[in-house]
Amino acid sequence: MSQWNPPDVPLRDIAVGPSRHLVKFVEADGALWAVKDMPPRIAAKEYDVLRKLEDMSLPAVRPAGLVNQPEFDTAILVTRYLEGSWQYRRLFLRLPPDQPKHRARLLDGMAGLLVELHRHGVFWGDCSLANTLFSRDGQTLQAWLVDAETSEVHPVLSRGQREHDLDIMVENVAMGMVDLAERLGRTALEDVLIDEAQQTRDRYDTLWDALHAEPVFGFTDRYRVEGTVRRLNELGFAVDEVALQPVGDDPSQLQLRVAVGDRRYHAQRLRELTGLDVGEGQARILLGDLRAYQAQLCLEEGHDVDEHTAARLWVIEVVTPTEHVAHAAVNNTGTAIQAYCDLLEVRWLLSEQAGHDVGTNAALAALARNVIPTDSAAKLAIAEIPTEPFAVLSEDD
Amino acid sequence: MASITYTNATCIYEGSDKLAVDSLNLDIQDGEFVVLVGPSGSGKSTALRMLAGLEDIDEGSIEIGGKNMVGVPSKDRDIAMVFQNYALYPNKTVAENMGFALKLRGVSAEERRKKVEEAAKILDLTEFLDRKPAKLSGGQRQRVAMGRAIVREPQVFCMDEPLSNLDAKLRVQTRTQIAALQRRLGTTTVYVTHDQVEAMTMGDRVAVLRFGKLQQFASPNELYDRPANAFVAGFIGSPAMNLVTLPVAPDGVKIGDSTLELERAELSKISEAGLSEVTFGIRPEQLELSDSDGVDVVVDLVEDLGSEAYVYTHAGTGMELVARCNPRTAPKLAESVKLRKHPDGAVHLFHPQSGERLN
Repeated sequence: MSQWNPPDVPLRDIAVGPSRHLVKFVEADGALWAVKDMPPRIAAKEYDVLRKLEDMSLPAVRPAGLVNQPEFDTAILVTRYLEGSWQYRRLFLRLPPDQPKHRARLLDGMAGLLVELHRHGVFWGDCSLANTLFSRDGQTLQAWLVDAETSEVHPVLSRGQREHDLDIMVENVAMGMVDLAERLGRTALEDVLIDEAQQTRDRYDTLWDALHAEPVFGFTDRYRVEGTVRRLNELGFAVDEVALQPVGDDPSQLQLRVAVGDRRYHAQRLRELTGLDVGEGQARILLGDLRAYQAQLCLEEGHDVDEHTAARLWVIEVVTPTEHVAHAAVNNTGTAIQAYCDLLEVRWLLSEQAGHDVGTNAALAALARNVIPTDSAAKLAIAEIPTEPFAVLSEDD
Repeated sequence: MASITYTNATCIYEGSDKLAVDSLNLDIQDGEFVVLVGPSGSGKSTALRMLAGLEDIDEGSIEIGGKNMVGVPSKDRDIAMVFQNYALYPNKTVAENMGFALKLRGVSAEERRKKVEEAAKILDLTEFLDRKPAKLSGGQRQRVAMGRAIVREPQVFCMDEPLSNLDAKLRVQTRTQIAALQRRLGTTTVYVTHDQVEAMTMGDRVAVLRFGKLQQFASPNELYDRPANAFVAGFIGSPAMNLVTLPVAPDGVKIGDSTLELERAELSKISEAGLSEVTFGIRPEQLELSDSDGVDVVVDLVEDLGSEAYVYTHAGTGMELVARCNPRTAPKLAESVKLRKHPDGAVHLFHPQSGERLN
């Protein structure tokens, strides 16, 4: 693979961090592919892990193939390039340097990804910002695992394995942020960045504990079941199963065990109501907008309007026309539905500033002129603006 | 630095009816380099992870420096997992990359610099300390990754197949460096590999595992010269030892039409065990080509390595035998030749059912 050169191979220039192995990007069949040259045993292992992650619908790069080259004692792992994703460096090189809210979104994404992997028995082994890609999802960032060289899939992870993975994540995230600060000439931020990286552990623990809590309460306090389920739904998790079991010999004390499903609670609900297939973070915002629309409709009609009717009208009358206008306002960057989510956020933030509803047109204008609050999630769109298509490598490069 | 003692250490994987590690007993001396080796599913990685706190010790105990580690979190065991974390940061110098973990632990800048300089000296990285990782070769980057573990000065290094993701050339180079480095540091090291060559060339002692059970724990020479059972005999050595089950004759074992004579002590061991058949083992270098006597075989393949050649053959009974010979006098493909035991050659006898060593 080291001898692959343009014009024989349509290589694309995509900046990646230092890697143990040779990585190149190739455009073929209208898609972009990442190809990595590795010892056969490791390549086969990574391919196997990535296939398992795909089977479990976990957020990870999708494997496309494995090419064994016994004559060179090597193998090439082919993965599909994640459309619409970007590296953390790209975001922070484009944003004003000191933006703790954006960093918090990034670290939430990392912690959320690690929790998802761990609860499915996946030990990452080399969790770092450089081994992660990010994509926008409403006001949150979705993190994607892109390097599974050191990963293993177990039926269940031990506490020791999780702790070890967390230690690696904290160290790597801290170093990744500090390294970037150096590049930006902001070394004074170093201690703050290290603190924030260390707090990623708390973000992880909070989410993990919420998913694995097994509270004990009295027989008459069964309302707490609903409270637990609501909390999990609020975090985006569907609840597949609830079991209440007496504690020991005391029938008045019950222990709650909950089987938690995918983190697509709001996304599923929105799809049931509207057929829209969006990310969980986007669905959370859109469902809020739908509810507000339904309430307004009830008021205007003078009677109750059921959720399904409201949803149908909301898609036709509100989302469809507005998402395209919003998308145009951001020069068709990212997806139309994300632009609509950004519009909702900006409208809310500007209205809050103004103390009254500023309306959609004012929010659209602000979005188009990019005069929106610096720490708003809508600002993250900056990461999606392509400066130029991935450069085609020439023979001289 | 510390000694390590596994006492009946057992690990059970959730939902599995088999023990991942079954009553493992190992006594590792302070400063020793011990390699755990075995095929896939042998429990070698699990045994290491039990030591590192990544797998639970369900029964028995593991002591580090005389302290029982059951229930002790990984971070409190003072061990370092080497190599897993490879990430190097392009805008930071080699020194900063090496010392960052210490910074996270609140170690002062002065102390960090001291430890990094010491580690760099051991790793021959002193002249690169102020350079950025992009300016380093692949081998130098590997050493920086090692340096990140060394600066912590742990009691124990744990290495889980650290060379498996390197290309062949870098693997051999790094293997030598790790062994030399461990000797210089004197830090107790437990190293896992599936590669018996790596095990034999690196370890002071090697523990061979299979299906979660310890097969033998001995020096590389002892493993090679006196394997405790047929599994170890077949696993250690490349090409593998010839292992065939043969009928017992009054003065030896029958190979085809000829009899290979055994020592009186060996015959009495077979007789004590009441065996009419025995698993006979002989290393390829203990067989030689002969013009006069020996087993009639046909040559299937000659592997010429320059300084030596391996002749892969089969006998009329279908039995396969490999012999080492001088490449200049190696027979031709499909040629019929005779093989006999070298006059000073050692033979290994194993129980045909249990596989245990008899002689």
